[in-house]
Amino acid sequence: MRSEIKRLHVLQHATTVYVTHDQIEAMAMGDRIVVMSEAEIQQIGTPAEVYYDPSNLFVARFIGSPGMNLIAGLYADGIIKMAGLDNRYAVPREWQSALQKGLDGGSDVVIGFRPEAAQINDRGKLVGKVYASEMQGASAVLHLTINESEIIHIRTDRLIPYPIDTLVHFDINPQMVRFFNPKTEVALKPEVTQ
Amino acid sequence: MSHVELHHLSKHFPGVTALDDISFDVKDGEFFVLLGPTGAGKTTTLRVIAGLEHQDAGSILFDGEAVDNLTPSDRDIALVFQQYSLYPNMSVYDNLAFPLRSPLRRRSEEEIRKKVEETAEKLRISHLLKRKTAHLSGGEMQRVSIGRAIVRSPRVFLMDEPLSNLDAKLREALRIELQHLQKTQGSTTLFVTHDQIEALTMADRIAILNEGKIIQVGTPEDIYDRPASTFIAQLVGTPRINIYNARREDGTVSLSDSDLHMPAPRGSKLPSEFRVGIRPENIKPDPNGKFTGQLILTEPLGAETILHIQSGQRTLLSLVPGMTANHIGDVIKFNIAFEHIHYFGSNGDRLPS
Repeated sequence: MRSEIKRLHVLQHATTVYVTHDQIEAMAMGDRIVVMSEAEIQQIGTPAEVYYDPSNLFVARFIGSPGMNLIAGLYADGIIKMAGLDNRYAVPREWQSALQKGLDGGSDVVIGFRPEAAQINDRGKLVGKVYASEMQGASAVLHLTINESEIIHIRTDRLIPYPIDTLVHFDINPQMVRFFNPKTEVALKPEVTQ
Repeated sequence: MSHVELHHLSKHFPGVTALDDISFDVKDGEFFVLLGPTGAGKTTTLRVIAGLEHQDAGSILFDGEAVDNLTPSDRDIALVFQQYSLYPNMSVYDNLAFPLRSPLRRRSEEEIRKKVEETAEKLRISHLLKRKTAHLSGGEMQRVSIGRAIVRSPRVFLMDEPLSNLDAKLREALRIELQHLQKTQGSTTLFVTHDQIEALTMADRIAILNEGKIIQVGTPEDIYDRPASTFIAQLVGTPRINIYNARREDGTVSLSDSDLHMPAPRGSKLPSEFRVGIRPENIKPDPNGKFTGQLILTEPLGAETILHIQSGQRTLLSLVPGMTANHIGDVIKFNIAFEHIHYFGSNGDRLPS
């Protein structure tokens, strides 16, 4: 049905405004999406823009299935320390000045990345403990605890079994990492590099 | 927990055969999912195991002993339904304590308090214990319902579509919690659903039920990679598998209503007419691809994108990682992973490979 409606829209060269609570419909059908919450526009953008560059924590959580991984940490001297397992993340250089300027003088920060941005690697700098794993057909999703209350989601090759409590090391694709100010909930903007 | 066996169960309602010679077993500590479309007989199977309905023929065994003549309460099972069956005027604490206060299972209040608190912690509802259940959200209510089932240690958990009334994000979260809980508790669980993604993601094994008959039993990998029929191939996997009528001439397989021709698998005994199934992830766009088609639609989902590729009179679905750089209207080249093609007879049954 979803693809039939989009096909009709394309064939008719129609102008269409489509309302939905279902983020998958919005992503699959929209040329552009207006994400709304509490009577306010949170972001206007193409599916790629709202998915890869959500403007705030609401959009980051709402778009995607599962949503963006969001981990709280403390930033100092190019390093983010996260609660729980001893995770320290070296912030890519192009983001460092954005973090210095964007955190209003504080050090609280939220680091965000999509499940497919995590790259499992025995020597990865970050670590989580397997809570559950899901075979989803063509792919699989691993759910890892990184502290007492937070679970993150990683897309993997479905053919490798991961028993509960296995420690899994991973890195984050540096092109796909994002940062948010937890007080304002707004996404930080990276320094434009040439 | 218990090992559950179903031997040749049949059940008829006036004018319908609800269960037609159903046999399977759920091993001790196994997460077993019954998957099928509406009306397949899933709920009837569950109700017969619970003792809420009685079978016309066949037998049910728990740990090798027939339970056919036991009442539901003597079977010592716990049920979780789609509708949350909670007492709205009681607190979450009292709802969880209720099954323990049954006169059949005399326990001290101290013992009950310990059990309730443990259970609440496992389900992440400790902060809600004093709340009246009428004031909870749907997701919280279903957590309490599951808590009521696990607070005592029954022989078997029977769950009938417990996640169907929840919104997508909550369903995802509870799927993970249920699986973790089941694995760490080692409970024997029979879970009924019509949702193929719930079956794939949570099950140790899946039984596919259609029109009162079991048509395949296997691990999620068995079912997804070696579906026993085109019906099962189309029931499991999203986006849906591409199914074509096909014919073999000499060493070539030609798919009907399309421009797709491919080498017949080596050493195969394919009949001259049959059907093929190609999963969307096995249709791979490639600038040097052997096949050509026109992109008539793209559906970006975030982590992956569905491409609709017109080839002949048919549209193929392809699933690719990330976003696509191609646009609607583009002519694109693609390859098919021949080694992953499924072959079925004209009647829909999988052909032996």
